[in-house]
Amino acid sequence: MAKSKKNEAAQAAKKVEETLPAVVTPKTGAIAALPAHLQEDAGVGLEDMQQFIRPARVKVIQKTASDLLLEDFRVGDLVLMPNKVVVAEIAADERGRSKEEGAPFFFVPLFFYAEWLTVNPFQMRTSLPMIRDRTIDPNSQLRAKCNNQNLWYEACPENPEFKIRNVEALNFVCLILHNEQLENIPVILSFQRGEHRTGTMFLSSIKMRKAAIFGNVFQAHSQYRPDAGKGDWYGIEVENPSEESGVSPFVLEPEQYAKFKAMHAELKAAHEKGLILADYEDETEEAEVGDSKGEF
Amino acid sequence: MKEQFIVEYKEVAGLFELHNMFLNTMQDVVKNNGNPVELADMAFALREMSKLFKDMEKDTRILGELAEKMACLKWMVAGGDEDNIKTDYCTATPDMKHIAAIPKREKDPEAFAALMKHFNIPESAFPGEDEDIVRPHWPGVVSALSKAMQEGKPLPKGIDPTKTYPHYRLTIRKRKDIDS
Repeated sequence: MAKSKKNEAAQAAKKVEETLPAVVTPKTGAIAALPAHLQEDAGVGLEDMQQFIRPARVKVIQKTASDLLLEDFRVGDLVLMPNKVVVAEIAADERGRSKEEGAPFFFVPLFFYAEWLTVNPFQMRTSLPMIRDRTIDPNSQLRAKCNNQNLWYEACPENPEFKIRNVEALNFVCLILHNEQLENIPVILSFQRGEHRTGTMFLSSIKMRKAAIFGNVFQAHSQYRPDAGKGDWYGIEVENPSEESGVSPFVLEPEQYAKFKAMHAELKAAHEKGLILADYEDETEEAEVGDSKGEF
Repeated sequence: MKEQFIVEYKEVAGLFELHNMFLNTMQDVVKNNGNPVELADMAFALREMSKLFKDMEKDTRILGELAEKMACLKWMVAGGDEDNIKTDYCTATPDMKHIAAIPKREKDPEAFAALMKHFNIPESAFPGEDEDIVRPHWPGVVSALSKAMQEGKPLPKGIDPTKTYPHYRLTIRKRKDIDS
């Protein structure tokens, strides 16, 4: 990267840091605790890493999740990753199994972007990373492959017996509302594969409202997908706020709106520089587990 | 525009012109023919031609609607701020409506009643069988759903959110002739 471009990217990242809460670009806050001779060079060598924004991601706990997650959460719970904070729980029925619909949470979508991924076969997980390639370039060859159903699957170069998968992910950077623990923490809702349709439905709901993306409020809950052919699979259902909730579908306070607008602008600038990094490694791995079992 | 579409448009436009010339010429041939056998054959041939055109129109329209839907979807995913898609040939404005399956009274009477209640229809207006005074009019329900979506309101009770889907259309304004 040229020095000027690097500076530009660093400045954009700094601006985002100023607007977005610390959780987006985590800081240790421990500089003072360093020995005096280390304080002067604190963070040197990590500049490139700090440029990236890694919003936490709302994950639906699936039955294919790791044992560690299943120990702490119920299938169908919505959990913020990697923080492992519950966003919305799902109740159990009388037999102790998760109900079909989880509790709702409310959020403002701040920014939308699509990302295109190539996912390695689950069977190659010990030798290859889960995400083989990723791009936000709409003119890329990978995007063209994701948009052509005939090119979704390709032979894995390292082992042609297995297939790599080209996937379009619809990502919404959102702010969760009415939750003291999670308020002001931008999170990512990512829709891909079987949930891609939900993502396009959500996109069209936003477009139908005519308001700017960050002026809208939605509610979401985890939802059992009986027709998905995936066994006990849960997805995220996004809706307009229910009447019972009393939550307005639009951001009503001008000050709050101005804040969300500024956050949108910063996220947009960061996205243009490729600085938003969604981490969906485990999500992709679970989907691959399902694929490898022939469940969906 | 893709070359295949320009070439095909010109082919179809050429055929349209040729066929119109043929029809104009044949007006007198049909009007002044006194042979019922020949006239029956002409009627048969024209009916078959008409079928071909209808099939062609239908298939062309269906592919066109798919292109409209795909354009809307890709436009949304591209996430731009523009309200429309501008090309050298046209300006296309995406338009979305919200479509939902109306619950059937026979299969799901509770959902059906909830939907009617949502629209303030008294039960006495839909007692069933041949005595119904009011039944849901699908285009009207679609219009109400779309309005609700625009206003950020929840779906009417009785409508299953998992059985709803957006319907995408383009309003296309010509900027330049395809064969210009």
